[in-house]
Amino acid sequence: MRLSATKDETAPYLLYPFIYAAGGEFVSADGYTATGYYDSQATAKGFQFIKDLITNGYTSYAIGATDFFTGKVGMYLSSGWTIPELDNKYKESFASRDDWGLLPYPKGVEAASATGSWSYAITNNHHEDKTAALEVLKWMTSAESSEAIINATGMIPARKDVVNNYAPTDPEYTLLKQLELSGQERPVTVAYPTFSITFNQIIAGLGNGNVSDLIRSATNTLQSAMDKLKGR
Amino acid sequence: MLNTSLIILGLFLCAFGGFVIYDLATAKRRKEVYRVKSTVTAYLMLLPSVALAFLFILLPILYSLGYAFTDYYLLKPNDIDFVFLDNFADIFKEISAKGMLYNAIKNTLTFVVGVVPLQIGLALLLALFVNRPGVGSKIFKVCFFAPVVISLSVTAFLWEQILAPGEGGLLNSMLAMFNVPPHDWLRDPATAMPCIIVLSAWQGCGYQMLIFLSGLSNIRKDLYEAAALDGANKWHQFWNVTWVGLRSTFVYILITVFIGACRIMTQPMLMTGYMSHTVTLSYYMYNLGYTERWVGASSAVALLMTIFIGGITLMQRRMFREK
Amino acid sequence: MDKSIMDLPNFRPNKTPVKKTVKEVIYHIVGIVLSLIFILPILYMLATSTKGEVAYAESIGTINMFLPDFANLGVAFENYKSVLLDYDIWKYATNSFIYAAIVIVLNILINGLAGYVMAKLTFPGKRLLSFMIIFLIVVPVETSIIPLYSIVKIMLGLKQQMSVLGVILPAAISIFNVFLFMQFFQNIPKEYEEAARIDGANTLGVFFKVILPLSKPILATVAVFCFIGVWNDYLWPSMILPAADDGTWPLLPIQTALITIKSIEGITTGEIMASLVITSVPIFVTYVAAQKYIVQGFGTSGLKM
Repeated sequence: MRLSATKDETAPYLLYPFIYAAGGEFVSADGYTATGYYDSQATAKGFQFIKDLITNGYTSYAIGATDFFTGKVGMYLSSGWTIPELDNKYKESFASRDDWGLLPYPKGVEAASATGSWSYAITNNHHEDKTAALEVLKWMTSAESSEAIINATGMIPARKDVVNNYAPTDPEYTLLKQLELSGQERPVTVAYPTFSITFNQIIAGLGNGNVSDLIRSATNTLQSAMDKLKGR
Repeated sequence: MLNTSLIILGLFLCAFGGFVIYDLATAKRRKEVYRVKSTVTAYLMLLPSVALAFLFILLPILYSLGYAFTDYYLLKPNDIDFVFLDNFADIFKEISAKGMLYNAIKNTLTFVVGVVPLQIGLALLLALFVNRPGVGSKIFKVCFFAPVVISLSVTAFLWEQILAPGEGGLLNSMLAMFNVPPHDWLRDPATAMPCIIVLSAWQGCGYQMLIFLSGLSNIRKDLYEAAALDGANKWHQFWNVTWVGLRSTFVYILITVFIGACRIMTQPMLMTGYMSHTVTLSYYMYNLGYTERWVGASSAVALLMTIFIGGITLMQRRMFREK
Repeated sequence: MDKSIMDLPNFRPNKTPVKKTVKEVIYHIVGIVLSLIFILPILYMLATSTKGEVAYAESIGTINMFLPDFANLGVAFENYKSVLLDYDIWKYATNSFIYAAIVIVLNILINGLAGYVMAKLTFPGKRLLSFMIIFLIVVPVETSIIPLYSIVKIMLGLKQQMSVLGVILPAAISIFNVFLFMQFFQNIPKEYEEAARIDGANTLGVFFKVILPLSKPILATVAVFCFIGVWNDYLWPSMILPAADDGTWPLLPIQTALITIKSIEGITTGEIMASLVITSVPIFVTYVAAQKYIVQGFGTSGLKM
């Protein structure tokens, strides 16, 4: 696990499914309440699971970005973008696809995996041609655009109807099935930037800190951010 | 926003017009002669700089002052209301609740108190060390100055790698040779800020060293000879000749390094992210206003910070007017 | 009496040179140790940039941390090539050079003209501008960066390709440089100006034909500090310019791109260090080539940039 990636969206993106897998939640359905969700027992269990991994030596903050590729660690929590890396860049450690395999996210109380890559939106403040913007949006989410994107990046397509001939033994197939069956989006709230920051703070503090203290402080911060946003 | 800016522009032009009229009216008394042609030329030549300064320097400052009393949320630029002192009340609340702002102030103070003596002390010692003829001292001078060449963001990334946790980090692996166990320098609240202080002093002291050297070269050599003839030893010579000659340079450096230290943002932002043990005042402001989009609240903090730093800078410039 | 010079109490012919040599040796040893401590991180950066990931991992903990990978020098070439070409650093570096060139020219013209007018011409309303110069210098840039963002993005509406203007134009005006130019031009004797006017030059002509050529030192200093400022700037471009991922020529300058490059999946430590080295080279060259002007920058009114 790249526990040290708490400077940007990497750590939240990769780690939030563990909270869902433990049955936890982050925010209410309308995105304006964190108290009762972020600090629920199940959420605490999710963070405790990660902390236990650290305490028991299964992972640590010292794992670098390339430790899996150089053979220092045996497992690497990542997503579809790593597949082209393994195919092309690290031939000395992984000569072919037979030398590595892909597992889905572990299942806890439920199964959860990370979703959400690129998204497109039109805002109300957009004074110019909304019709034109809508057309762009429609095309960006069309099958044609999806194919172009996956050909360029190697990511799993966002649309089911895009042709993907993954054999059941392909790692891409596992990823695709995982997304279909257990993908859950990150908390939907206007205060997402604050959520991301607080999540990073919890992860960074897990090593030496107390899970409930970290969660309490994060919930307070997120709730006050949400309160300020109510009615805006 | 455009309308407000045009109003401010109007006010500015009125103020300028006022000054123009006043100057014209008192011209005879001050024995000043204004010519139409040279005045028009002056105005035309000033136009680009004044326009740019108005747009990109004056307007942001005025807006920052104004936003401090509003609830401006960046995603809703058309929905700004005056909330007067609410932002400042929030600041007070956050500090008393020991929230992030409190941490930011505390960390910034820690940094300033640590880096100012360290960086200036190092700069002075190194300057004295290389202040002698010879090839050796020239080479040493280059080596001491080398870190300045590395920009702050490159320094931050480089030291992030050096301070990496586990045995993979450079510092940890060097300490391992002395059987010191590896340490998570940047994640441990007790060591993060001291490390940032040290690496910042490392990066910056070469620059102040050059300024000290320049100051040292301005001290007249015969003062040293006179002191030696009077029986002063090296220590006395330092205090009575060197220190006296360097005093104004020192005060100047003190104020500049102090102001620079108050504004630190790059190192925490690029090395640790937004964490309570490394957040600084500028980082707090940037995060509040840009990442969390509360421009109003952020401007209130900015106002307080401007008053503080602006006051010190003004003081510095007053002090050096005699130059 | 047979007194010789050797009997004089203070004459120690042999001791003084030896003492001096010992002092010199100690001085140089201390100097070498101090210098090493200072440049150790830089040596580490350079050495790591030549290594592949496996070689880097092996060298940790030994003296080889600071030494380049002599056995596999081809890897060094690979690292730099991949950083420059695959990760497009040469594009970002070109961007930075172009931005810097434009900003330097604009800076000298705009601030220089303003400084000249403030120094040499009299006109009604000059006092207001003098006050503005004094007071606008003291405000730190962090406090107005977000309203500036508002102005550039919302009021002026500079989007996508036009946002380059949002990076260049604010950098072209610097009250501090106006002040510097003003002080320098005030010291140019009036005779030069008067001679040119007698020859029929107008004010603009005087500026370009007389003042600027006489101002080479200050121009060099301003140009050097301008370059360094633009090259090292990462925060403002990151707020204003669009991210580099839509296939067209990216707009980011190099230091901003560095942040994105660093988090590219699979990038090796050697490649990261190589990109850091590449980013630092132009500044290094600038300092070496222009050290005269930098030290001069301190001397000018005793003020530092």
